[in-house]
Amino acid sequence: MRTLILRTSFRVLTPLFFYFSAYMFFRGHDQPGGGFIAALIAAIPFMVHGVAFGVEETKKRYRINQFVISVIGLLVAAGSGALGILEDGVFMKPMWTDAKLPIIGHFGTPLMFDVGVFLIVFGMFLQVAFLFTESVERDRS
Amino acid sequence: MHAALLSIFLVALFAPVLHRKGSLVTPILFSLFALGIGVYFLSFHGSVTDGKSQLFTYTWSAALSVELSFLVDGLSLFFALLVSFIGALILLYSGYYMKEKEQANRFFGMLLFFMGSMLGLVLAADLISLFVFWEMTSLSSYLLIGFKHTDEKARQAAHQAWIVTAAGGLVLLAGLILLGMAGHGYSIPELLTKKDLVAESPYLTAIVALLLIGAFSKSAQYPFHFWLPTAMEAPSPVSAYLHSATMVKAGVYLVLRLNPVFADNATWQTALAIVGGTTMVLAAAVAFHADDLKRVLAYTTISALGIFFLMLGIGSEEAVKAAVVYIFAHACYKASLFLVAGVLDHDCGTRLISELGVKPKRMPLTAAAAALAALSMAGIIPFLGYIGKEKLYEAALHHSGYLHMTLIALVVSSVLFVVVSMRIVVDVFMRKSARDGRRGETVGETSPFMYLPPLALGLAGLTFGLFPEFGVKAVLMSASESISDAVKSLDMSLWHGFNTVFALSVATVVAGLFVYWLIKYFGKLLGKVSLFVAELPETLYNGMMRGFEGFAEFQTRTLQSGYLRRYVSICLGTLFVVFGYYSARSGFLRDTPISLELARLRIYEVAVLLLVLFTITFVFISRSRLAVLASIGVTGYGIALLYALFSAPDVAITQFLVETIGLMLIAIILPKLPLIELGRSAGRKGYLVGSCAFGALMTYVTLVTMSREEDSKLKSFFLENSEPLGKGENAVNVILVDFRALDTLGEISVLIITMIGIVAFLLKTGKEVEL
Repeated sequence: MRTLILRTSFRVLTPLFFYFSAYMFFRGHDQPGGGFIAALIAAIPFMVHGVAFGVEETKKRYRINQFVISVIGLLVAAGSGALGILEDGVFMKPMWTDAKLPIIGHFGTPLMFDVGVFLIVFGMFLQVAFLFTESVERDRS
Repeated sequence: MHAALLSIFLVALFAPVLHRKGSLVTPILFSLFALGIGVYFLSFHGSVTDGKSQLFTYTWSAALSVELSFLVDGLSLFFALLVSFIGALILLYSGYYMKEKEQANRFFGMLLFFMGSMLGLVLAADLISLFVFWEMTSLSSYLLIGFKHTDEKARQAAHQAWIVTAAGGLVLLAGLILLGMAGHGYSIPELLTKKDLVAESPYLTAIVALLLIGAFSKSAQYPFHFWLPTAMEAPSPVSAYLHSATMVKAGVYLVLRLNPVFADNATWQTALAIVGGTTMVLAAAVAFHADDLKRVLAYTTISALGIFFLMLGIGSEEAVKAAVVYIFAHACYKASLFLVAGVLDHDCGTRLISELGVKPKRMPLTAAAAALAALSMAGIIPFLGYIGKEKLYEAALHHSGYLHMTLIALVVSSVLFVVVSMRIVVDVFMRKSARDGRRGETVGETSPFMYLPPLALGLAGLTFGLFPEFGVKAVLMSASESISDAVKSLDMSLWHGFNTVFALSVATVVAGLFVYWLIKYFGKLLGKVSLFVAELPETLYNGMMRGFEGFAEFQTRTLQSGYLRRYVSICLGTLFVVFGYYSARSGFLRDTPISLELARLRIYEVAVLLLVLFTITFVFISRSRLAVLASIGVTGYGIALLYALFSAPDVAITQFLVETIGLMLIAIILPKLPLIELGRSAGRKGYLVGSCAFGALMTYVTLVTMSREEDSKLKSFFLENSEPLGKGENAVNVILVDFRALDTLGEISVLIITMIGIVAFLLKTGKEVEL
C-alpha cells in the first residue's frame, strides 16, 4: 500500500485534517462537533502515514507514543473532575472562566474533560491501527 | 492507636523502596520499628492488667453503622504483644535469611503488611473491621506463601491456601453479618454484653456454624487443615510467623473473642470439642511420621490449634486459662523450631529428617535453641510448655463428659508431641551417622541474625516457665478474664505436689520415650493410616478443583470458539431471547399502541432506505470479500445520511467518521484474513435469519419507545438547560462532557481497558509490540 499516490495526497491533505480537527473540537460546545469527532479526524492522517511510510517511520517522525497519550487523556479527564473536588468538594462540578476568549470561547473544566476524551480516543484508534499495520508488515517481511 | 497501625502500613508500603538487596541495616531498622510497636502496646500493660480496657473509635461509615474501632483489653493486648514482639524477631531473622534472595525488598513489605493486618485483626472492636483485617491477613499469607513465584509448587500452595482461607472468610462474613443482625450492631464490646439477645436469634445455630467454619478454615482444623502443610513452601520465617505463631491463631482468637457470647451454647461447645479433639489426635499422629521437618512442625501446629479449640469446647474456667497459657507457650517454642528448621534448610540444603544429621558442636547455639524449644514442646519441667500441659491436663481431668475421652485424647497427642520433640533433637542433632546435610563439612553457625531469634524464643520458654510473675502472668490473667467471666485467679507455679496431673505428665514423657523407640517397628503402618485419613480432604479438594477446571474447559470450548461470528451470534441470541421474553411479558411493551405515520415519509428518505436495503442484500449474496466490505461501508454511510436527514448532525458526523476509520482498519488488516471464498452455505443464510429477527426486535422496541416519548421530561430538560447550566448551545456535547460526564468517564476508561486488551491480544500472537 506504499504507493506514490498515497504519499503525495498525504502531504497535501494532512494540514487540512489538523485544521478541520481543531475547528471541530472548539465549535463542539455550541454546534455539532466535540472531542470524539475531532479525535477521529486527527487520527486519520497518522493512520494513513503509518500505512504509507511504515509505523516505525510515523512514530519516529512525529514522536508519538499513542499509549501514553491515551493514559494522559484519562488523567486529564479524571483531573478535570478532581478540580471540582478542590473547589466545592463535588466530583465533576463544572467550573468556567468568566472571560470569553477568542476562538475558544469560555474555558472551563468541561472543555478540559473534552480534551481528555480527545486524547484517549486519538490514542486508542492510533494504537489499534498501528498494531494492525505492524502485524501486516511483519507478515510481509 | 490508629496512627500506630497506619504507620505500620506506611512502613510496609515504603519498605520495598527502602530495602537494598543484601543490606542488613534495613531489616534491623524494621525490627526496631516492630519492637517500638511492641513497646507501645506494653504501655497499655498497666491499665489493662488493672482491668481497664480502652476503646479507640473512628466512624468508618455511619450509614452502615460500621466503625474502624480498636479495643485494647486483656485478650487483644496479649495477641498484640505476641504479634509485635515475635514480629521483631522474625524481621531480624529474615534480614540474613533473605539476604541473597531476589525481591527480598518486597518480602519485607509483605511481612510488615501482614503484621499491620494481624494487629488490626486482634484489636478490631467491630465485626466488619475485623473481617476486613481477617481478609488482609489471608491476602498477605497468599503473597508470602507464593513468594518464590517462579516455583510451580509455591504457586500452587499459595493458590490452595488462598482458596481455602478465602472461602472460609466468606462463610465467616455471612456469620458475622447474621451475628450483627441478631445483636443489633457490629460493635464487639457491645455484643459481648448482649448474650441473651443473640441467644434468642432464630439463626443462632446458623451463626455458630458459619463462624466456626470460618475459624476452622483459618486455623487449619480438620477437614480444612490441608492447606497448612502445603503452605510450608513459604520461606521459613513466614512459616514461623504466619503459619505457627500468629495468623493461624486468628481462628482461635475469633472463638476466644466471641466466647462470652456463645459460651452456653451446646452446639458451639460440642462442635469445638469434636473438631478440635479429632484434629489434635490426627495431626499429631501424622506429625510423628512425616519426614520433612517443616511438615512435621506444621502438623504439630495443627494439632496444637486443635488443643485450643478443644479447650474452648470444654469451656470451663480451667480450660480457658489452659488455652491462654498454652497459646503463649506454643507461640514461643513453635516459632523457635520453625526458625531452626529455616537455619538447617538454609545451611544444609535439605530439611528432610532422614537426610539431616548435624553435629551439635558445629552449630552449638542453633542446637541449643532447638533443644530448648523441643523440651518446652515435650512439656518437660521447668519449661513454659510444662506449665501449659499441666493446665491442659487439669482442665481435661475435671471435665467429666465423654468417658474421659478428652483426657485420653490429650494424653495421646502429648505423647506424640514428646516423640516429635525426640525426633527433632535426637534424629537431627544427635544421630551417630551424622552427615551434616548435603554440604558436608562446611556447615556451621552462619550469623547471629540466624541463631539469636530462635535462641531468644527458646530462652523465653525457659525464663517465663521459671519466672511467670515477670510481666507475663498478669497479661495472661487479664486475657483469660476477657474470655470468661468465671476466671478469678491464675496459678502458674511449677510444682503442685504429687497429684494425678503430675503422674500423667511423668507417664506422658515415659510413654513418649517408649513410643520413640517403638517407631522403628510399627511407625510406618500407623503413619500410613493416619496420613490417609488426614489427606482425604485434600484428595477431595483436588478432585473438586479438577472438576472446576474441567467444567471451565468445557464451557470455554463451547462458548469461546474463537470465531467472531459465533461470539456475535451468542451475544445477539442471548439478547434476543431475554429481550423477547421481557417484551412478551411486560405490559409496557405489549400495550403501547404503535403509530407508524407512513404518510409523513419523504421520497428521499425512501430512496436512502432502498439503497441501504439493496446493499445489505448484496452483503449476503456476494462472494467477494472486498465487495462485501464496500457494501457494508455503503450501508453505514446510508444510515449516517438518515441521521443527518432526521436532524441529528452529531450522530451523523460520528457515524461517518467511525464508518470511514472502521473501513480503513479492515482495509489494513485485509491481507491477514484467510484466503477463503465466501460460500453460499446454509450457515450464511442462517446469519441472515438471525440478523433479521434481531433487527425486527430492535425496530419494535424503538417504535414503542418513540410512541412513548411524551412521557420523558429528559429531552426538554437537556435542551432548555444546556445553555444556562452548561454554557453550550450543543446539547449533545453538553450532555457528554457536563451533565453526564461521569458516564463518559466510565466509557473512556473502558476504552483504555479495551486498548490494553487489544495490545495484550496482539502481543500474544505477534512477537514484540512496542507500546
